[in-house]
Amino acid sequence: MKRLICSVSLPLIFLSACATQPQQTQVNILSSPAKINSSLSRLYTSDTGEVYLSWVEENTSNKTAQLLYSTLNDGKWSSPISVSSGKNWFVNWADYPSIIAENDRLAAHWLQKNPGGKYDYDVKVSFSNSNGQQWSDPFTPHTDGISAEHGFVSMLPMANQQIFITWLDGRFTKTGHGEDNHSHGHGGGAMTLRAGIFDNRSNTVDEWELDHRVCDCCQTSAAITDKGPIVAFRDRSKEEIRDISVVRYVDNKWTQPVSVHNDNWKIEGCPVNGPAITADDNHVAVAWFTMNTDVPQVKLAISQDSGETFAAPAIVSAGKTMGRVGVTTLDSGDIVISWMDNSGELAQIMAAKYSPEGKLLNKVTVTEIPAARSTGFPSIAASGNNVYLSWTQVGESNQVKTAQALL
Amino acid sequence: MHNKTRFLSLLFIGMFNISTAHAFQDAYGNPIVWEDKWKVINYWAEWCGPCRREIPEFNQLAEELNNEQILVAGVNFDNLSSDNLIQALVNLDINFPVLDPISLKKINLPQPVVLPTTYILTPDGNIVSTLVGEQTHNSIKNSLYKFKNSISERN
Repeated sequence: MKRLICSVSLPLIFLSACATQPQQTQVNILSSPAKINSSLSRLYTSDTGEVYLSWVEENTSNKTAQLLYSTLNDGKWSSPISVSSGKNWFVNWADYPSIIAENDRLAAHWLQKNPGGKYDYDVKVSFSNSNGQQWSDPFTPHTDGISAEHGFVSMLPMANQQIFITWLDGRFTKTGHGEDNHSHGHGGGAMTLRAGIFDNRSNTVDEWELDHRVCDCCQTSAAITDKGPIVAFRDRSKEEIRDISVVRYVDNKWTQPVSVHNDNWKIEGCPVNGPAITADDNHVAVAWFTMNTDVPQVKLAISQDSGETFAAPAIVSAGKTMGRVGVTTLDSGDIVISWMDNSGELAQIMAAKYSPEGKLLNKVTVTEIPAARSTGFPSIAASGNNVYLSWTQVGESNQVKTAQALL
Repeated sequence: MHNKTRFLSLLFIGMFNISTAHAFQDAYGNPIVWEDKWKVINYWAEWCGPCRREIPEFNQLAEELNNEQILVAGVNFDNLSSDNLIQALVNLDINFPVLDPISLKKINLPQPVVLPTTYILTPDGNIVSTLVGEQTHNSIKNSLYKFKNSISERN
């Protein structure tokens, strides 16, 4: 009898152990292609699955900033290729240059100070049709001609070798036109969200204002759904509610901004913590930071209808979180979100995988870094079902680091 | 022996108290008297437009409140130090004292989530008000005196 109980019980024990065993997680640090004094990294995956890493290196002796990029081949980064450099760049921890790619065509953006004002800057965009070997003369996508803040850019490749660019535009903060502004009536209008489509000769195909009043310094994020581009941003109501909204380009028209979720976070300043969006056909996921209950939270909301509606969000992290979110979609359809949690003077870069229905599948701590401002915003991208992250390692000097995460 | 130990302890404590009264300094190395004062502490960053706009208000406020023994001081959100911090002060025409990074660690204030943010602190160092967003010298004074007067009445 005793022998029978053992022989029956063991398989049951084995089965239950398999069912509850968590999926393995692993983080592999990849050798960085970036030098010391590098920061502002961004990861991007092309339609063919090639992973690009861009970053900025600063030469403090001659006060030059340079945008470089590298591609990932067999788990190793290629030798860096220079995109552009200059002494008059606006280099800021929260407003980072980027590149996107489609086949052998690349587009890059960076920020250049405007001589009209000490803290005014313009967006500069350049194209390469030669896989990064040569770059076109940069052009400025915004045509206001006003010395103001223009930045927080997101770009997407479009059909017919066109490119979609969206940015925060500060033209009305200087001219005072448009809706009333910042609190306490100090002149000037509000920051706006604008976008445009540009051809491969830098000509403007079309340009729009997407929202007339948005948060001043939160990053934008954009993705392509089966219906067209969708842009996520931190909105700003007249009552200073700063929740996350999306606008969608459907049937050649932009929709009105719609809240992803009504957090009703009332704040009269900018949290410098924009949303992140990813899309795969009609599946869209938006991640964001909020503090509507005085408890900092990172949330993730999923849409199954190209961003028209979103399900109630999952709370990814609450309490000791700094936000600084990123999000990407795997080939499997699963969604991976990255963010930063903090404990005292240290911060943890986290990543978690969710099913397309929003169920948490796995979570991993990618790395631990100082919780300083200069650590910036980690970036995340996926190729196939592989997840890649980049961040700035702060120390005696800063350096961009990268890792592959297995979730 | 016990009296000698006690005397030395008191001497040490006295020295320590004296040293903490001038244990804070600004970006230029000038001492900041922190103890026994109401304090208005403004967090700012160069890249923050509303922060830049409210600087003249804080310059005016610092001048007005100096005679009332109320400290108006700033904190750089990006934790700049040394020449970089001084350069930022020059760029933004900041005339009120800005805490150096070492002093900042001593005061142990919560890092704001939003910019600009201004804290109003009692002489004991307790935060009684957190003002979020761009301020004027009047809006700060209104908040400061509201709490200052209410605590005085209670005492």
